Amino acid sequence: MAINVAIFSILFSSLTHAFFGTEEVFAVHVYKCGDKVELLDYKENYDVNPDLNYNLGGKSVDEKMELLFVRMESFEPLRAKMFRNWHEALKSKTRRLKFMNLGRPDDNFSFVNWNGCEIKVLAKATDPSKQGKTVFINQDLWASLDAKAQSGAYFNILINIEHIVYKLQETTMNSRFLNAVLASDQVDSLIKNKSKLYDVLEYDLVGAYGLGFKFNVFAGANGIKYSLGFDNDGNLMHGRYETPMRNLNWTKLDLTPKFINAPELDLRYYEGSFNIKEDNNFEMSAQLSKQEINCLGNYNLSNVSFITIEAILNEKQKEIVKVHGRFKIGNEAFETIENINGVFTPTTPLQDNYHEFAKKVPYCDE
Amino acid sequence: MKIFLIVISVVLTLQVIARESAGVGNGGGTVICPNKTVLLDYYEGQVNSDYTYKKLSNLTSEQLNTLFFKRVALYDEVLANFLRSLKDLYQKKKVELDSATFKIPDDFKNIFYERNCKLAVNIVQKRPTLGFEKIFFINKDLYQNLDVVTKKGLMFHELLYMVAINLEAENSRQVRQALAYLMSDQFEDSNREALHKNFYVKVTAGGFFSRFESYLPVICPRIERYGHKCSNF
Repeated sequence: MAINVAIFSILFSSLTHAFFGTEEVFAVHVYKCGDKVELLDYKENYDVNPDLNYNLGGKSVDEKMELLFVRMESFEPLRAKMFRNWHEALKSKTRRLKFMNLGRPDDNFSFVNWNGCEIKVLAKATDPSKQGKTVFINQDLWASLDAKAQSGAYFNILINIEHIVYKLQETTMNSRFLNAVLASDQVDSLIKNKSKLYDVLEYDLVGAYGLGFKFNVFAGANGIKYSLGFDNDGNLMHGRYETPMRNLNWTKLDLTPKFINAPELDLRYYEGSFNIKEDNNFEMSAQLSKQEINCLGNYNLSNVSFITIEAILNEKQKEIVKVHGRFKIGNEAFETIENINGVFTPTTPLQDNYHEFAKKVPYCDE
Repeated sequence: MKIFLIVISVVLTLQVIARESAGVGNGGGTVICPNKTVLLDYYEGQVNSDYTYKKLSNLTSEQLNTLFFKRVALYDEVLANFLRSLKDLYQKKKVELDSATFKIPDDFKNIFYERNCKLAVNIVQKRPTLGFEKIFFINKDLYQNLDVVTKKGLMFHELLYMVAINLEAENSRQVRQALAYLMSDQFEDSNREALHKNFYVKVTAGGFFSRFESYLPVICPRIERYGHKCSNF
């Protein structure tokens, strides 16, 4: 008995420690109807909408998770990548608890009370960037779920890490709806109604894939600023983007754009806007990394802090057309370096009154 | 006038955004007594306003429809046509749920009824998120035992409430009063002024515009979110 109490105390202490570290805790719920236990996300949506039916396929939890990721990829590739990485990382951050109650259900639930059913807390999760365990599962309930409900519960956690922890939404009602639709025969309606859904979920539109930006892991965390617009077919058309000024501890983001004609140019921070029209041109303001050699063609921009880049999108790669700044090259000062026939060449002279602000640009082989 | 309409639209839109997170409307209710089940709207009409409903009890389903739309049209033909188009939406987007009860909404809390009676929610309407979902959810166990007057009354309540909620009504209290008046025997003695005060103002959340046509630029984009186009009517 004493050992049980001690174990309980340790577990309870680790739970409260994890949860008091942040306000943003969310729960995954199930309906317990007699001996049958079902994921709340699925029951509350499928049972009231005859036109919404589970059709995921796959037998094991892993197979079903893979199918959910694939569906998310067709809907939102970057977010799918983010969820895959989270799912992998959370395996070592999950604690399964036996003989423990995870508390009373506290969320915005359906208007329907199903006769003979009771809502129970299946799991609780918090900010995954916290140290230690951040997902706690009631293993007694978990063991009574089938692969359909278990995979749905895992996906609920991934969706709500973004929805509740990072986007600070108050309830999981809308994210549960997304979870249910994703596993249903109405999954296509997500793509057709992307903007409507994003409106409801207050999702960031992290669809800048076409510009060659790459999320390595854990994108969508605090600090990333996107505002993108899509046409009626869901194609990215215009927007604003900004690299994060501060990354989360466990977050490694690589948003640095790589230019095909300036592979050695290293940007530390950039922001800008783009408007993909016929010419696919875009512009960005950038702060350059302070490193010994930071080359644009044959020009070493290591001494230059800020530049503006005019670039063109070319088959998912970016090519610099022109760079604006204050460059002192030899005895002359320039405000532009242009790509002329594949060679970066200083062109427009800098106005006299800005000469004193121009930074020395040595050649890269000097 | 255009600018004025835009200002009104913006104000109304902001209010809706602030309030619509859950998107679930107040339910259509009944008072269930040992001998009889009565539409909450009519029950309140009897208790609070001494209305009577003798005429309704002799009408068929179709005659009840005709009476409802005819009486609305007496005040505003456009509103009557708008409600007729919502009736089609109701028929398409309703679903009966087995083994379920619905939560009692907040605006049912201050309702008086006899000690041996109880209050029940029979129909709930919910704004769809993506458009394919059902909108009107019916408690099948309760609904199948209702008489035609109550069934039709529930539908009329839902149609009027859809108008009211999309014109900023905070709950269904005013709609219940409006329907109680519209379908009462006392309606026969009304003039246009009474109809405006007791029905139109309550359904349009204050009756800011005296003609329903003026509300169309505001309400039509909202109704489109239910998958229903104003051009349909």
